[in-house]
Parts: sequence; C-alpha cells; structure tokens
Amino acid sequence: MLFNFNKKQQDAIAAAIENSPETHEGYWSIVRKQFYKNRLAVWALRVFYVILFIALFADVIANERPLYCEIDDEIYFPVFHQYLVDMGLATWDEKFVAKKWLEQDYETAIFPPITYSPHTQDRPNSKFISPFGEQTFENNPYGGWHYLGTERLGLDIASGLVHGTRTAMLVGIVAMSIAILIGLFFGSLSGYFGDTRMRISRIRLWLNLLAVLLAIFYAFVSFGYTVGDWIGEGYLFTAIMYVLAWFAGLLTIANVIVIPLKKITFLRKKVTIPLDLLIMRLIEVFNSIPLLVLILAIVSIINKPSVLFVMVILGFVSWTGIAKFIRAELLRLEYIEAAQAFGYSEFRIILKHALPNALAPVLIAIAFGIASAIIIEAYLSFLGVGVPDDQITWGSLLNMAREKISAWWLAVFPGTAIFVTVTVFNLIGEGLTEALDPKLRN
Amino acid sequence: MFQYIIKRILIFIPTFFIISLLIFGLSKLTTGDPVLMILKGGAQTGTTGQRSDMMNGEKDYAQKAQELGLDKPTFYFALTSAAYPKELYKIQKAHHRQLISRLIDQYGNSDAVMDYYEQLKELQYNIADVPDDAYATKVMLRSNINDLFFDYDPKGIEFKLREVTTELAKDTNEVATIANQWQSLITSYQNIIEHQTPAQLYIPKVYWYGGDNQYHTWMFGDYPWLGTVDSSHYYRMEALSVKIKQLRPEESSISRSVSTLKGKNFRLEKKIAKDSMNRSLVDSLQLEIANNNTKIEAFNHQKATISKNIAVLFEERDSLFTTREVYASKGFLRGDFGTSYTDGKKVADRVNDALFWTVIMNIIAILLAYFISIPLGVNSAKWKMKGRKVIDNTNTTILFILYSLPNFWIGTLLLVFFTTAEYAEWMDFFPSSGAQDSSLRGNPDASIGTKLLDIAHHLFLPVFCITYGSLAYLSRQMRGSMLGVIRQDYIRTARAKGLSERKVIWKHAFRNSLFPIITLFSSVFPRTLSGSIAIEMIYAIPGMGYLLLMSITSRDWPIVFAIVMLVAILAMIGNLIADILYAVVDPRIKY
Repeated sequence: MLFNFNKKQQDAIAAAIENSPETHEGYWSIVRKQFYKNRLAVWALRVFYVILFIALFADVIANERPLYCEIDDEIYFPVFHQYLVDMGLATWDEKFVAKKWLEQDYETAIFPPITYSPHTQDRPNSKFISPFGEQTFENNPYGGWHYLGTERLGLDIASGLVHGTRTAMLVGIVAMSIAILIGLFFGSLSGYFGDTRMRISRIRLWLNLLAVLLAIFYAFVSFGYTVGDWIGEGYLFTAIMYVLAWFAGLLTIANVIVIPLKKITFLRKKVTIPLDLLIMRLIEVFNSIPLLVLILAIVSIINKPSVLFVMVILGFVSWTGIAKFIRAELLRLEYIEAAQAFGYSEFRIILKHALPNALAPVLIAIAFGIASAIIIEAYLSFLGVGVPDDQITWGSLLNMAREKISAWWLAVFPGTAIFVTVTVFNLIGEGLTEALDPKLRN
Repeated sequence: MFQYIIKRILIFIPTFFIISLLIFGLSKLTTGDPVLMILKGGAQTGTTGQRSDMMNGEKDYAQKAQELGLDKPTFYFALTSAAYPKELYKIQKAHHRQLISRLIDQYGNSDAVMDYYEQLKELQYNIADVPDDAYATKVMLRSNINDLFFDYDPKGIEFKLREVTTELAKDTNEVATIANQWQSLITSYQNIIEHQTPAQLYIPKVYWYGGDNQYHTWMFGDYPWLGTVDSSHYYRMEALSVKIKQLRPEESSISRSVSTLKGKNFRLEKKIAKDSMNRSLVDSLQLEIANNNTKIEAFNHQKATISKNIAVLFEERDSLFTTREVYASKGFLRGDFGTSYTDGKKVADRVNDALFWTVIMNIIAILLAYFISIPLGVNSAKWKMKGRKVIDNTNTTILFILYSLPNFWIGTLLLVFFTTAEYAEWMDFFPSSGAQDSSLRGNPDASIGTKLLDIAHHLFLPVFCITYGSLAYLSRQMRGSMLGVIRQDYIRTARAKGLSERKVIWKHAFRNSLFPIITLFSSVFPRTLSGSIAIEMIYAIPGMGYLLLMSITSRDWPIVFAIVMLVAILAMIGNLIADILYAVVDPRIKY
C-alpha cells in the first residue's frame, strides 16, 4: 500500500473530503439554480403548493358545517369540533344531530367558501343542476351556490373536487413512499453488490434462507388467519408490520447464530450470490405484466374495497422504476471505489455516500411516479374497481358523466383537476430532469 | 446473434411460469365457491329438503368439482403446520374446508375437529329424516345446523349448542334420536376444547402432492398430450342429455293439455249442475265430458310412456357417469382457459371474440403512433437545431399536454360532446357505442366496403384515444434521441464532408436515433393495451378490456385471470420482439 494511514487518519481525511463545502453544498445549489431557470417548472411548483394547500385544508374550504356560529347565545366552531369528534374526544350537541347543518337557526354564522361537504345531499338542487342553471335555496338559506353544478343526488361537485384532492395527493404520496422504500432497498442492493461482490459464508446463506422460509411459514401459515382477518377488518398496516416483524426477527436470529458456527471451516467457505441478476429478473417479471391490469386483478379480488389498499398495492407494484434508477446510479459512481479504498463498511458506503448521490435522480422518478399513481387511482375509481362506491374521488365524479351526457360539468371539471395535477407533477419531473442533466449545465 | 435470440426466448419461459404462478396465487385468493357459482340456478339444493335431495346435491357437487378439477390438491406441495391433515383438500365444499381449517387453527387437534365435523354432517342428514309433523323443531334444527357449518367462534358454537339442547328438551318424543346425537355432538365439541394441541400449529411441515394438482391441471391440463381419449361415453352422455331435453317439453305439454281438459270438465260439470232442467243440453255436455275423459286417459298413457323413456335414459346416463373418465382441462398451454362461472361457456370462446377487437385497435394505434411520431420527432429536433423557437415551443407544449392528458378523460369528453346531438345538431359525428352497427353485423347484403367504413366510423374515437398518448410519448423520445445524436462528432464530420442537411439527418442521424425508439415498443405496447380497457368500457367496444371489467363486476374469475394471463403474455411477446428487433437492427451490438 502506498499510503499507510491508520484508521483515525483515514476517518479524518474522509470527513474533510465529505465536508468540503464545494462538493456537497455546491451540487444542490447548482441543481436549485438550474431548476429555477425553468419558468414552467417554477410555475408548476407554485400550482403544486396551491394543490397541497387545498388538500390540507379541504375541510375548511368545503364543508357543510359553519366555521363559526352562534346558536342560543352559545359559540361553536363546528368544523374544528369535528376533528375532536373524529378522535373520540368530544360529542355533538343534540341539536346538531337532529337537524341538518344548513337548516339550523343560526344567530350568526360564517361558512366556508363552499358550503357543502362531499356527501351533503342538496335535495332541491338534485338531478344534475348546471352551474349556470337555476338553483333554489328556499329551504336552506345558508346553502351557497353550486359553483360547479351538482349530480343526480344533489351532491356538490366543487366540494367533491376539493375533497378528492386530498385523496389524490394521499394516494400519490403514500404509494410513492412505499415504492421508494422497496425501490431503494432492491436498487441499492443490486447496484452496489452487482453479480460478484456479494460473498457470504455458506452457513449464513443457508440460515438466512431457512429464516425466510420459517418467516413465511409463521407469518402466512401459522398466523395466516390472524393476518388475513386484520386485513379484512382494514388494519392493513398492522398486518404488514406484523409480517415484517416476523421476517426481521427470524433473520436477526439467523445472523446471530451464524457467528459461532462460522468457526467451522466447511461452513465458513464463501459463496458468491449473483444479487444483481436475481433482482433484475424480479424487476423483469414485474415489468412483463402491464401494471394496470395487474392492479385491476389484485384490487378486484378484495372483498371490502378501500383507497388504502389501492395506495399500498400501487406502492408494491411500482417500485421497479426507482430500483432501476438507483441501480444505474450506483453502478456508475466511481467514488464508491474511493470510499471502499478508505476501508469503510458496506453499510456506511451505501447509506452515507451512494444513496445521497443517487437521490437526485430518484427525485425525478418520484415526481413522475406521483403523477402516474394519481392517474391510476383516478382510473380505478373511474372504472369503479377497488374504490368503495360511496368514496367521492375525481375518477368517480368523472364516471358520473357517462350516466348523463348532457351534464357537461361532470365531464369537464373532474378531468381538468386530474389533468392539472398530473401535468404539474410531470412538469416538475421535467424541470428536475433538466436541472440534473450535466450536459445542459453551464 | 442467433444464440442471443435463442437465449432471449429461453428467458421467456421461466418468466412466463413465474407470472403464471403469481396469477394462479391471486386466483386462489378469491372468495366464493366456484362449484356453487356454476351450479347456482341448477337443481342443486343441498342443505334443505329430503335426504335424497341432499344426497343428489352432494353428488352434483362432487361431479362438478371433478369436472372443474377442484377435487385435487392446490399445488405440487404445501407448506402447512403439523396440525393440518394432508388430505384436507378432499373435503370438497369450500365452506366445510374453511370450518375445519379454522377450528384446527384455533385448537390444533385435527382428529377431534374431524370427529366434530363428521358428527355435524351425520346430524344434518338425520335431521332431514325427521318427520314433517315436527315441522317447527325440524326448521329450528336445520337452521341451527346450517349455521354451525359457518361458525368457528367458540361463543357462537356454544350458544347454538346450548340453545338446541334446551329446545330439544321441550318435546322429547318425536326427536329422541336427534337429541341423543346432539349430545354426542356436544361431547365431540368438548373433546376439541379439552384436547387442544396448539403446539402442533407452530411446527412447519411440507406435504408433497405430486403432479395431479390444480395448478398443473390449469397450466398443462390432465387431458393426455399424446394419443386420443375414448370419448364415446362422453358423446353418448351428451346425446342422452339432448334426448332428455327434447322429451321434457313434450312431457310437460301433455301435462298441460291434461290439466286444461280437466279444467274444462270441471266447468262443464258446474254448468250441468246449474242447468239440470235442460235435458238435451245436459246430454250433450255429458257427452263432451266423456270425450274429454277418454282424451285425458290417452294423454295419461302417452305421458306414462314418455316418463318411462326418460327414466330409462336417465338410468343409462347415470350408469355412464360412474364409468366415464373425467378430464378437467386441456390446460392453459393448449388453449383451454376453463369455464365461465356466469354462463358455463368455455372461456376460450368468449375471449376469442374479444381478443379480435382489442388486437385490431392496438395494432392500428401502435402503427399510427409510430408512423406519425417518427417524422414528427425528427422534424421537431430539426426545428430546435435551427432555432425556430415559436414552432418548436408550440410543438413541444402540445406534445407535453397530450402526454399528460389521461385518455379516459378525453374519451369521456369526446363521448359527451361528439357522439350525441345533445349540445348541437352538427356535433353528432360519431356513434356512441359498439364496434359495429347492429344492422350491418352478419348482414349478407352489406358489402365489405360498407362494413369496413362502418367499423372505421365506430372505431375512430376509441383508436384516437388510445393512440395520442403513445404518439406524444414516442415523439418526445424521438426528438430527444435525435437531439442527442445530432450533437455527436460523426454528424459534425458528415456536415464537414459537405453532405446535404437532408442526407445528414436522414442517412446518418436518423438511423442511429431510431434504435431507442424500437426498444420503446416494449413499453408502448402494454401502455396501449391497458389504456384500451377504459376506452373499451367508455365506447362499449366488445374487446378484452370490456370483457375484463364485466367479469370483474360479476366475479367471473376464470375469465378475469385468463385475460390477465393473456395480456401478460402479449406484453411479454412485445418485449421479446423489441429485444430481438434491437439486436437485428443495431449493427453495433456484437454477440
């Protein structure tokens, strides 16, 4: 070896290189500058903030409950009170339960800009009232204009759109988070280890395989009914966590047992695992099935449809793009070799060096991924598969247009909402692509 | 290169089987009993009525299960716990299997659980034998025993066991045997509780079932691959069924005539009683009654012979049932996709018609997308290079918008605005549903030209909707790839040589920028395929997407999974073609 540094010196040099301001800080500030040069992308980002705002404050924007009201000399904040009720910390007054919100005798009341919740049925204005048509407000003096019209039962389209924003954003974000977790895991494994660098002892391989088999047995066979019942009752995340806990626990035990057993020469012998090949095969299998059809098939066999399932399933099937991105990024990074030269542990290299650098292109994948997740959710609810019938989403509103062809507002507005949101994410993705492209950078 | 292609095709095979396993697994997660779904509406009664009815119901069930191959184990092997018996799959009814499995999952003692189950079944039969005079008791017993087949919650079971015991204590005379058996049922249940072996649930065990399983049958079929099968029994049975079907209406029409005549006689007798004074009338009426009676007798005689014939045919058919050989399926690989739950037709037949429209639409869409996007992409790259900002920006913006527009929205918008005269008379351009006009379909008078024109008229909007997205995507990719190539050194060299711009673009740059577009075929094809699902629904085109959605709503799983498999296979073939094309076209790739 040319340089004989001890461990401490190595760390010091590495830290100095890592913390040098121009390499780390510089990169992101360049990216940001490049991104802000793209006017369209900046506008898309602003629209994204608006959409996010609508999603977060949907309850305040469209609600049949007043924001503030006085009845019988008492002051209420029904919109905010609802949160307490939902959490089980409070209950509603008798008078609110007995009478509809818009028909109460308020002394003073301030309503949200859209005075309907997505499920408020405005009977006098039912049967597809156009936004420019005649709307009657004799029975409920507090009822506001239906800005975007109503559908058959008198549900307000504008309110449905506002609350649908929340569902759409939630689907995009949750699905992508799951996809990123899985994609990061497989992508970094395959990109980092490649076909040759995963060398583990025989005993570790055997015991890990055994642990996986046992985990499958305990999670899906021994406790299969428990897990299945949880999923059936809607505790999806509990079920997933429980299954993961079995895997994590048994794998840990296996790897602890390995330590003493490795002393035996026969068991210590190293075997090479072609990790990259295996993972790429897996990705190929996933990519062979048209995603939408696979999701349709999975979603349709669920007895009790719920948006939660759609999110999770979307996440579980759309990680392959991210994994490929990260793999490609890791394969071409020379500094990993440099980090290896410092003698860093593999986990440290992956977590502290490889992933932060691979993160930038992953941002692009996330932006496009959210766009496609939102489209798929809208598509599923448009088809009426996998999303409960009473859930109002952009897709389900759009589907109502087929019921009555003359109700153009049902075809135009929900579709516009989907289109704008998807375009915004696509534009952000485009902007990021350009900002990160070294060829375009000055 | 030949080697590469062979290798590529060989990789296709394991991928195919992994996907088939995945889809088979999904199909096993569906709820509902397929046999009951197919038998529903038939003569199957099962849990009500007499012992003989129940026996027949069981027989029907067993036969249907055998025909569907559902009497086999699920897979080549099973990973279960030591508590479960290997032969659990032989319990045929899905909810019975569920009950046993759930009880074992709770208590671990399979012997005790099986004993309880046997008792339960025995009791169900015996209750059917209870005479009808004790009707109230019988109904109570029947509903309780039927509920017990669905109950695995200890509280629920104990409640029902107790309730029936107290009810039986009220009148012991008629149902003494049942009361005794009920006591033994309770003992067997207590036996489960007392002899729990939960530890067994945590010992893994692998059972090997071999090739005669449901997956194997679904994929490869149990029908022999070589040689022919003696299907004379099958045809004889079919012929018998046809004959029986022909005789049945004859029999019932005779019964109808008999009852009409009887009704006539009744009315005549009434008339006689009323007008007994009028002798001549009474005589003529009595004559008529006598005539009718002889007719009735003749009819009855005829009916008896027909019934006898039917009975003979039935007997022959039943005897054939026991000796025939049953093959559940020829297997997916030989084009047998199973039987539809809703109408009992072969899935392959139903998918076949649907496949035609989907494939036609997708081929047109992809060809159009490629033929328009390639020149468009090249030209837009040229605009960019020449600095023609306005046209370049408009072009990229339009392409971008097209790319982001969800096709089910555009489909709905076009449907709303351009297929009816709702908004204006002149906007009623296109038909709103179907792939063909119903008056032209199968009409021999219509010329091929009119038919084609009609189909084009119907398919214009759907094809547009599935094309534009891929078109925009491909154009953008083509533009990017062209721009990438134009920056290369060899293009500069070509220009420096003094070649015309046309030659530089089309001869040097174009060919190299085309390669990535070819590989995109593998992602464009699944895209249009799945895109056409919603479009087919919107425009009611009887293609695969439409069939898929209809089958999902009616829970017709064989069709659903057959289509998912077929779409996956189509997508895989698309991948394969793209890879092979790439290898053939690109001279730089060496093997």
